[in-house]
Amino acid sequence: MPRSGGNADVRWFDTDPCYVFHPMNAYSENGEIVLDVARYDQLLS
Amino acid sequence: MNPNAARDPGWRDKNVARLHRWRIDLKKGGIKSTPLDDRDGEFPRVDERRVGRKHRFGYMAATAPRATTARCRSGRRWQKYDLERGTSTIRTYGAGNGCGEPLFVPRHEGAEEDDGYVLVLSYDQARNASVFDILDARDIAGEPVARVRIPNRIPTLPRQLGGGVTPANEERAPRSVPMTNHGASHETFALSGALMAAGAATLFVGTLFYIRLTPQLGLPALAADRPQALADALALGPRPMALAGGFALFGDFLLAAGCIALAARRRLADSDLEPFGWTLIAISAATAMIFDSMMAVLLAPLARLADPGLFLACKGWFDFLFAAGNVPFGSARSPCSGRHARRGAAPPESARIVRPRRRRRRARERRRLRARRARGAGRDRAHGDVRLRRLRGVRHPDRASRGRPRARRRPIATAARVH
Repeated sequence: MPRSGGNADVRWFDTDPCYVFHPMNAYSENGEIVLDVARYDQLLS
Repeated sequence: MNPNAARDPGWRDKNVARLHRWRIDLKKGGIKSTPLDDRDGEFPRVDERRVGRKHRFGYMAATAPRATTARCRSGRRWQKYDLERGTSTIRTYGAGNGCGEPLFVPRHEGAEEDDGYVLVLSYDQARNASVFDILDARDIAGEPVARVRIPNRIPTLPRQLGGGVTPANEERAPRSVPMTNHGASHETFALSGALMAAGAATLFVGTLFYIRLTPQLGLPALAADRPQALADALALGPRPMALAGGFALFGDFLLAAGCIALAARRRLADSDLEPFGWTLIAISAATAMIFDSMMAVLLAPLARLADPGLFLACKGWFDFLFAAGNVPFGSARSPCSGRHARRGAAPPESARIVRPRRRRRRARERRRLRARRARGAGRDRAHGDVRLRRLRGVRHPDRASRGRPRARRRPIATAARVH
């Protein structure tokens, strides 16, 4: 969702199944959003 | 890397997180996920000043549930990433020891990223106690800049990684500040203070006009005062009345603006006093504004009508509004000015306290009335006599028949309730 956007501006992006509790940071760069996250392949399984 | 993962390309680590970089392409869609480190890690942090902006360095505790003891479920190490150069540095802790979430603090406000300190709370199994380290962010594996040996184990340490109440989380608080509002809070505070001071001063000017009216106007219990009240208003004329209302209304607006500016500061937000305080402000502001706007536009013309009933009714109603507005403050006196005090809402005897300010005000009032009487203004003189008598503590003739004798009462007992 853009910073100034609303409900209608939400977009969904698919990725492989995983779990993320905590992001490190995120920013936009050259039309991309860069997200550094602590990613779990599997959790509590 | 996990040895199992090296043997089996399809191996999936359970319950272990690794730092990944996701790139979301906004035009074409899709997420490109790249693992940045084979080692595990959780609770990643960046320099708080870089949140939402491109960062180069990251700090991250390690999780390895099986590698920790029952006492210390936190990680055995933490690592710092240089994401531009693609390198990392590790600080490890001995067997059975562990550390919590590392927190970066810049050396000073304008310091470069990674120029500062990393604060870490760790656990020393030998002492069964915690250690608080302040490390140079550029040399995290080296000797700490300062070390605090805490005499006991900080109970939150095992859960510190879970985001409990920790120093690290307190430092996260600024994240909730809107990014467009950095540094504006101080001016907001000064603005609200200035507005409130200006509002109080303006209101006081309005009160100076209004004070010339009989204070107990329109009260049903004091029907005897009504003709006097009307005569007072007529003698005052439309201009001072409008000035009184106008100044008071303007003062109210300034005060309200001050309150709104104050509301922008959220430091006191969520305290128990907040809803109560806002209720008080809303009630008194609404009451004051109704009264003062009516005062400015209505009362003067009404006083000049052939039938005085309308004026008295309106004035009585407004006075009632004021009394109601004063209730939350626990006195017959408005927080904004003293003009709402009335005999009808007199406090009990025990609550009447002689205060120097009231004494001075009383003396001023007496001087003014004497001067008036000396000028020999006919009707005013009669009025002045009544008030002066009250100031001196002599019973009003109207009241001779009711209530207990008050002959020996100190003058202040009544004067305290005169404006």
